[in-house]
Amino acid sequence: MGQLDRLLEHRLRLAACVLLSDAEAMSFTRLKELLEATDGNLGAQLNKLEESGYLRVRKEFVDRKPISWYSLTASGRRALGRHLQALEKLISAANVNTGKEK
Amino acid sequence: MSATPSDAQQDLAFIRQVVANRKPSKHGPLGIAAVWALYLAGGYTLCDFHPLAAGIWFQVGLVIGTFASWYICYRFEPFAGELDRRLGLRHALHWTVMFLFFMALVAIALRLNLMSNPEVWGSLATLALAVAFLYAGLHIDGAYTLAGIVLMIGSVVDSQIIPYFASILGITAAVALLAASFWMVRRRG
Repeated sequence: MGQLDRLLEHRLRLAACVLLSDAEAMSFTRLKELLEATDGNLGAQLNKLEESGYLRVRKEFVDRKPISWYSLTASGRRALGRHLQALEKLISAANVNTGKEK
Repeated sequence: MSATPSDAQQDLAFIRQVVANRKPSKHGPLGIAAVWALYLAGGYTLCDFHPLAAGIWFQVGLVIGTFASWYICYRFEPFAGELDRRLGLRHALHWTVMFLFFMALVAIALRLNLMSNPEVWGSLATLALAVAFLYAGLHIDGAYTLAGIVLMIGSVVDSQIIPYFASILGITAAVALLAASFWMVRRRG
């Protein structure tokens, strides 16, 4: 069975990576809105992903307001793919076991 | 934490909900549709009242519309919180190719002396625009298809029968484009 990625075992981090996998980049505000997370919690989780090289952050000013753009790196995309595969296997293995028990 | 299959299922349910809550930006598509609606309504109205200016409007407007489409994507996406420069690029490529196609058509029309007959040239140019909008419906956004169909019908109707036919055609195509864009945005969001 494929290994689960410890970093992506956190629900918020996993959801952020899934959202970013389908976008060129997303702002911190947009991620916060979609994930319904607090500034502090989301900031901390995104920092961990950035430190591990899964995310890239770019800061810019639009109408004098700072915007942090987050995007998934190639290694983040690979890690997400492996993690989702492992999750899928974990769930299907559990379903098979449950079926046997019945 | 996805330590157990049950946790994993809960995590996936959470992610499914988050993804379902994500609505695409409305500003970009509506802004761009408004640019092209203005292009059609303005150009065709000029055909009735100032035909010479209409030719300039259609050619220069195609270049301005191309830049405006790209710029709107670039400008509004930061406010929507999601960057999608690919949409701006798709618009820029599509309308640039259509501009070149239109220029080629003008060159052919000049060579065959088609411009001396405004009826034939008008139908041909409208057909070219119809193709451009139908392709935009395929390549960029389905909302452009309806305007393409309106223009396609307009290209085969005898414009002599109905007074101010060009104005009516341009305004109808513009309204069709705006209505389809609003409808698509509402359906997505």
